[in-house]
Amino acid sequence: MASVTILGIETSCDETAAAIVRADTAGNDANPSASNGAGGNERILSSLVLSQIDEHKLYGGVVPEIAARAHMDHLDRLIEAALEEAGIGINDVDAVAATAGPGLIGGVLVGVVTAKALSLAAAKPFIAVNHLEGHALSARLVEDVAFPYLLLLISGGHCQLLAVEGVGQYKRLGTTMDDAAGEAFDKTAKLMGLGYPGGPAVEKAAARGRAGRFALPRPLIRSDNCNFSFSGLKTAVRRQVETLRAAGELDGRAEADLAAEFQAAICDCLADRSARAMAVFRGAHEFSGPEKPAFVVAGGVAANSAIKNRLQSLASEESFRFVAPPVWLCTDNAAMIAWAGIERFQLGLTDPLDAPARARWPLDETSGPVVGSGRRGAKV
Amino acid sequence: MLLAFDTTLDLCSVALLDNAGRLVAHISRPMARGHAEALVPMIDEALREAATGMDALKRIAVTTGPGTFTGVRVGVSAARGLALGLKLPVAGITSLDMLAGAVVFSGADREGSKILAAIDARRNQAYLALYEAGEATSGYPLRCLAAPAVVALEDARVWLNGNCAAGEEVRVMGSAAEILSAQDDRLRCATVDLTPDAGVVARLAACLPAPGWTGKPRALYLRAPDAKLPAGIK
Repeated sequence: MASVTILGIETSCDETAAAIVRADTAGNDANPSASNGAGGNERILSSLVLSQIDEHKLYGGVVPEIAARAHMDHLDRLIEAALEEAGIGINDVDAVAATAGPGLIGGVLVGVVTAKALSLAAAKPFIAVNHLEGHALSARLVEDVAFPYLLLLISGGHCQLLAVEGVGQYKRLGTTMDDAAGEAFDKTAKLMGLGYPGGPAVEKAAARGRAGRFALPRPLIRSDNCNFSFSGLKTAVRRQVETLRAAGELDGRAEADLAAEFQAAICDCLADRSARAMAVFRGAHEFSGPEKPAFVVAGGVAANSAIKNRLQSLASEESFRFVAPPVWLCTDNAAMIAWAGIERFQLGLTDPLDAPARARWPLDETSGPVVGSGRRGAKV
Repeated sequence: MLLAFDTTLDLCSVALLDNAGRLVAHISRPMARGHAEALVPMIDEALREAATGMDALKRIAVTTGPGTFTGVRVGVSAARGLALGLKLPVAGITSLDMLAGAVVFSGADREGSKILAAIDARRNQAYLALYEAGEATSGYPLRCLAAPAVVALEDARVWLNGNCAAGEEVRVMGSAAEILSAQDDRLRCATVDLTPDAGVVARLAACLPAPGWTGKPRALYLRAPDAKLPAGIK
């Protein structure tokens, strides 16, 4: 049976990752999703992730130069290990795919240049993968999900609702006007001194607390678009923390209750905005027959179980099929980059060796940044 | 065939040296940025220019810095990627060696003459290393007297004092040559007829004894990352 094997490389933030993914190409080439039956785990020959969390912990966030240096120190050894674990050599891969953006450019460059050099050395095509496309298509690595589907991409750097109509075909329905959802988690954790990374820290504290004791806003809820805004929420958390601290009342109980309220606010925002996007998506795409359209939730924030549960209930209320890739595929990894590489490779989409690395690279290039009143706008 | 490239400073350059020590391809382009896009196609171009292929390569030499952080990473990443794909030995040569090498290879050198390699590191600092020309036993044409360091311009004279007697003449090469020679009578700007680029790196690497070819090249930044401990939330 014919198959395609791709080496994927991911270095866009604080995880250095390399993976080998293989997929069958038997059947209908024009429709890669037709052969999507196999489980993702059988397709992933190896997937290694080296986290730099400890290197950045001291700074309470990712320091770009530290990240870039760490990527360079470890990447080649990690690729070697990924090949070894997969039991293949570089000559056995059909192409080399690397995240070429968006992300911290110093790290992205390390991955892109290494991939290009490998591709030149082994005479294999190079594929420049958009990190967001990696997240966007990751569900198709592990489940049968046909185009088009609705995607909520929530991570430390991104918060977007997209109609995924095909490989490379994205329509943005909504995005954040300021902070990403994961960024809001990180900043809240930092404000409350809960530690880094903020997502798991806030979730853990929230599990001990009760929402409703403090009142936090739900920015943009019920507004007539699908956009997000989290900076006001963060400011409200800061004011609350300052008030509590001044009164000497910021104890473990208060921390837990505030974390719970914060998480509830994020859940409300994500659910409200997603519900609106579902209506827009249904209006723009025709679905006939019993097949429900898929609502895919991807990105590191999807690892939060309160958020996941809330979005799952929403999907069932709105007659969408809920798809959330496993947590290890939601946080940054190279298997999703290799998979995006496979999807592109099967459509003949490869890139020249002078392809640029891009700090900013929206999936839907026709949509510009959304700017709110008096705000600088989103970073992506 | 030996492949050498440099992306650490304001050039992007690639050279191929055949087994007889002849430069069979040499491409060197001024480039302030964009090395990440240019380098790999340029290696391909050099191979074509020499009418040869990847399989003819036996060794790879790369400059490891100091220089721009990004440029350093582009070169070292490419070298490591190629080495991984081709299973070839790699040597790292510092950009300061490259500068001093350009002086030595430009000729008119007497054994033991001193060369200061000096790169403008901005913020009123320079990356410095001091060399002595010629090394009979190892075959490498440079002997390092003072290891690469980042030095404040105003401290350069004192830094040099440890390795250089008063009145001793030192030729200085690199982007900080003019500013340093203006403040220290011992320093005289070197005149060279070779551009300090991959061509020099290839020739230096060809002289490098076996131990230089073992490990992986490591980036030489000489500066810690800019990172401040958090003082609060913005």
